[in-house]
Amino acid sequence: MSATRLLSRWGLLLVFMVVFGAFSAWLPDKFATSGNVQDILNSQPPGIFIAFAAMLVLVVGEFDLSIGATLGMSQYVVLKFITHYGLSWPTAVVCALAVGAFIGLVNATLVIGLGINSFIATIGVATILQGLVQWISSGNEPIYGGAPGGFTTLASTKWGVVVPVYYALGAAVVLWVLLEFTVIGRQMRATGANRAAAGLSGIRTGRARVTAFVLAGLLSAFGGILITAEVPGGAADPNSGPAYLLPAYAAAFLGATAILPGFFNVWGTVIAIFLVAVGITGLQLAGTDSWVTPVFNGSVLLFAVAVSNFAATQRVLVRARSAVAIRRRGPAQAAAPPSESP
Amino acid sequence: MTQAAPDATARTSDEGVLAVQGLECEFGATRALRGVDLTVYAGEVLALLGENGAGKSTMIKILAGVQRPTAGVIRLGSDVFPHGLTPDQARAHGLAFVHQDLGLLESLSVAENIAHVTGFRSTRGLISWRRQTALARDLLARWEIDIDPSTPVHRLEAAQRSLVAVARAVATNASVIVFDEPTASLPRHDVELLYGAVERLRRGGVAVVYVTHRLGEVARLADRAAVLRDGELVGTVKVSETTEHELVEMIVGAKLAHERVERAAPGSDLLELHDLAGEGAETVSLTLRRGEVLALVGLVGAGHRSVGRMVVGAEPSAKGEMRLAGEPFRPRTPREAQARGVVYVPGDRHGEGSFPTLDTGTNFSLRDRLTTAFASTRKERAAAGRVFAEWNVVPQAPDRTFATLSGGNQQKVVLSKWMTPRPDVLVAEEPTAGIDIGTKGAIYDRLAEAARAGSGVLLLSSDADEVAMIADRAIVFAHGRPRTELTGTALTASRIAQECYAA
Repeated sequence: MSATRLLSRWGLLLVFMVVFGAFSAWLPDKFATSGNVQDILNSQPPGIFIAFAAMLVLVVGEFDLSIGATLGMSQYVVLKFITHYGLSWPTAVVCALAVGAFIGLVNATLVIGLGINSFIATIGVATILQGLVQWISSGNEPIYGGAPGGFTTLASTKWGVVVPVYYALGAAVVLWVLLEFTVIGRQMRATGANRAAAGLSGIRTGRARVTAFVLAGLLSAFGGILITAEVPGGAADPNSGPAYLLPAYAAAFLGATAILPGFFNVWGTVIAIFLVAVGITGLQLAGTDSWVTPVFNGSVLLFAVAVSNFAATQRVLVRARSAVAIRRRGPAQAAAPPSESP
Repeated sequence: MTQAAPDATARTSDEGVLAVQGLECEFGATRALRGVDLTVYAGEVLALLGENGAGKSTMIKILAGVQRPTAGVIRLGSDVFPHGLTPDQARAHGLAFVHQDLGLLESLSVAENIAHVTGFRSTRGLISWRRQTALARDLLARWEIDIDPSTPVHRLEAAQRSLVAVARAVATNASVIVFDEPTASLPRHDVELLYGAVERLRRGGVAVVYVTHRLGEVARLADRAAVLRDGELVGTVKVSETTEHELVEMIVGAKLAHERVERAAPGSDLLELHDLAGEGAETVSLTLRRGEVLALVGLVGAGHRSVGRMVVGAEPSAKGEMRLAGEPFRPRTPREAQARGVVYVPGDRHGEGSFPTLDTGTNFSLRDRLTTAFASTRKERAAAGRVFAEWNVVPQAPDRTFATLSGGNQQKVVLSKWMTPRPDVLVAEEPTAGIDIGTKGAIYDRLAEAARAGSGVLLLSSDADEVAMIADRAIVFAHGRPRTELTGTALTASRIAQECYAA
């Protein structure tokens, strides 16, 4: 494998390690502590779940802008079902997940059944969900407490980090296997790569897209449940959902520049999330003003995507030149396997 | 229409208003134009003819300033351009275009469409819609087009749209107007309106370059015809002194007698269509037998493609009946057709036939041979590699991104995907479009081999040579219906071309 291929595959991880190393050297007693590393790990799981949701829908070539609102909605569903309707906490969790899956199904119906552009359809659904959250929360009031201790064990600490870190890791492995090693996952990838060709190849492109929307609903609902369980007694904040939306997409796009460059993928997305988290935490510990954080986020995204686009064009140029060279050598030689590896 | 076009002025006709000399254009290794000399005179209609890929569109792109020539000079009036034109220069020197798709902005009004070409009329820096509309109304009135300028273009009839495109083109006082297959998308009864407009331009002293596939139009409209073949100008002839047959010979060329691939007589009936009808074709009855290559031929939009797509479940059929090996057959999706052994190789390789960003091995597997686990993925790739080796795909490695292969090798990947294992019915649409001559031969051998082994091959093609060479029978389509069936000694390239172009 050539140096440029290696760099484009592992470049983002390299940047992550450089940023991590730089902050460790700069702030040895604040940044490079086990407490800080635990903090960074502990605060990522909801963001990881919703970024996976964004990524899965991007894989099939669609957008789901309702994932932030779904994350907000599920906070209320799970907490209200426990405190208001007196359901046991596992039942409430299942109900919240079911609501998430149902929202995904609604999105899928609008997009696949009625043929509405997914960007528009999911903006509509997101807006409706935010209205409903406002209604349930009696005018955007956060609610606190009332959930039994059992519920908050969902977010208890084990082996130094909170349990949701292990959920996120588990979800990453499951989704990675789904996308790379199952038929439905590869059909999802094919649907996103060229829907017309996928349909003519006998792939059920509708089913692939429904799967992505429903999984996105489930994943964002689970992200919301984790946020609620982080606070003793549970808490739901009506404003937290939408705030997760754009960072999720940023992570998915940033992730597509690594590991499988050019494709939305699980591990790239995970690296992207931790790169941004490390950068932000470092800047905050260094005492920079709060406005630096979003400027940093946006710059990292644009820089990484620009570099990866540039690398991709270079690769295509090199291959086009070698293809011309093969043709110039004449059909007899071209019919033989090329001597040098690509 | 007796009155001359309003912008008519006397022009010197002996020199010609537009001339190109030694025009060359290369794309990598292909030479799209090789030293073309051509002059167009004021007040004449020059038909520009040639097969797909003969160089017509490259020529038009160079005139429009979209493409730079590799060599050659363009002269417009008394101005000489040694290195090609920019779009602005083309416009400023009186070149105007009516493109095949008309180039109108569908959602905007007629007035605004005109304004985007002529420039906006403004008052104190702001667009004056009152003056703009008045200008458009004047222009439409001069052309006797009865349309309200505030109508959005998408509400107009097809023929009205083409007239708006013509009016818009002449609004800039153009001295040369290039029409690129203007009637290809027009309903038959609407073409007269367009012919009238061309006639009027000629009488007004405008030079018209008219690109078309339809020889009927040439006889009807053109004074002279220039024929391109493989990037070279075959000749320029007076239409009144040339027969349609001679024109076809010029377009198709005196082809070498290809060695026909001989096969055993066809076997039992495999696919039967009875009075099949859908959106693009109707009254289609035909039978495809085992061991047979049956070609459905026609120009773009003639309906042959629709028949193929109905057979593979990619397009719904409204009425009629299909039988596969005697059993009722009505696939609603390509998936259902595949399950019965009927597969489809689409003509649009990048749009429908492949996954350009994925690797070739995955492209090969993405049908009913996907497997789930690690080990099987390896097996899948190995299987793809074996098939690619057998098909001489270069590079053979199944991990190469599809888009980086040459056209011929891409097509080998697509064909090998659908011909492994050998299907009962193979519907192949333009299987050799845009690929080199060597690969063409290899693909013809593969198709013949499949037929010999018992498949039925339904070839959807617009390439008369190809059909003459590998088909056992050909059915020529026109206007959505089968028109003639050609077999035996009648199955020649020139006869096929005659039947297509005469429609």
